Amino acid sequence: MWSYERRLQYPVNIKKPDARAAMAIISQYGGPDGEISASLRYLSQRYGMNERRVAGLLTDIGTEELGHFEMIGAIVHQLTCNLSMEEIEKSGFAPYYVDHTITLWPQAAGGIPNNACEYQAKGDPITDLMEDMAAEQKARSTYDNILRLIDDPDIIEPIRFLRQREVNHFQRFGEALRMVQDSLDPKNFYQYNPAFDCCKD
Amino acid sequence: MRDCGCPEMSREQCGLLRSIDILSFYVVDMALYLDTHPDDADAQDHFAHFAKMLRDAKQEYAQKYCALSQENVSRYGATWDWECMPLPWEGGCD
Repeated sequence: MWSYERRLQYPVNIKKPDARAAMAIISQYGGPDGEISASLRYLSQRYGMNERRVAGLLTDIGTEELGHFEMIGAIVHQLTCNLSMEEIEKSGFAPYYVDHTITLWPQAAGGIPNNACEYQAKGDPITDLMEDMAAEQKARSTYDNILRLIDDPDIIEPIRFLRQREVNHFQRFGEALRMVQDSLDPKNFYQYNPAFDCCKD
Repeated sequence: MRDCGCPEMSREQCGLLRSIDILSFYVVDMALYLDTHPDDADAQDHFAHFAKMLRDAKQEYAQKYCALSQENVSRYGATWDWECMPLPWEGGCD
C-alpha cells in the first residue's frame, strides 16, 4: 500500500521555460536509466529477495524513486508549460508537442518509449543487487551528462539532489549485497540463486 | 514566482513546507541507513526524534494551511481540498 503526499521530495521552482533542457531531462522520466524504470525494477525484485531486510530496502528505495519520478515530471512540466508556439517550433520540441502537447509521457531523450526490457527482475538476489548497483551508477552518469548540458541554477539544484541520491542508493545496495553474501550457505561457492534453492528444500 | 495560475502561498507557508521537506528528507535517508544498520541504537534514537519533529510540522501545516495527505485530515481536523495549495509539480515557492 502507498499513500500520497502532495509535495515534492525536493522543491522545484523553475522560472525560465527551456524546451531543449526539458527534452534532455525527460530521459530520467521514462528513459532506460530513468526514475520510473528504477522504481519498477526494485519494487518487482522484492518478491524474489530471500533476505527480509533487503526486501525492505528495495521497498524503501523503490518508493523514493516514485518521488524522484514526480520531481522529474515537475522539472519537465515547469520547463515546458509556458512555451510559446514560436519557441516550440524553434527549439526542436515540435515532434514531442505533436503527440503529447505539453503533458508528460514516459520516453527517453531520443523518443524511445519506456520499456521493461531495459531492466530486469531475475529472481536471483545476488544478480539483482548487482544490477541495482549498476543501475544507480547509470542514473548517476545520466545526471552528470544532464548537468553538462544546462546552466540554469533553478534546474541544476534539483538535478544535483537527484544525482546525490543515486550515490547514496549505490552505497545502500552495496551494503545489501554484503548482507546477502554473509547469509549464504558457505558451500554455495559460486553464489547460485540462493532464493530459489532455499524454497525448493 | 512562475505564473501557473495556481493558489498562491505566503512566504511563511513556503517556509513551513521547506521545513517539512528537510525533516522528511532526514527521515527518508535515515530509514535507508537503518535498513542496512538496524542494530545502530543511536541512529534509531535520531530517527525517532526527527520522525516526531516531522509529524509535528505536518500537523502545524494541516492546522494553518491544508492537509498534505488524506491521513492528516482525520488526525488534525483539517479539510481535504485539492485547491488549497498549488499541485506539487506547479512549484509556487522561490
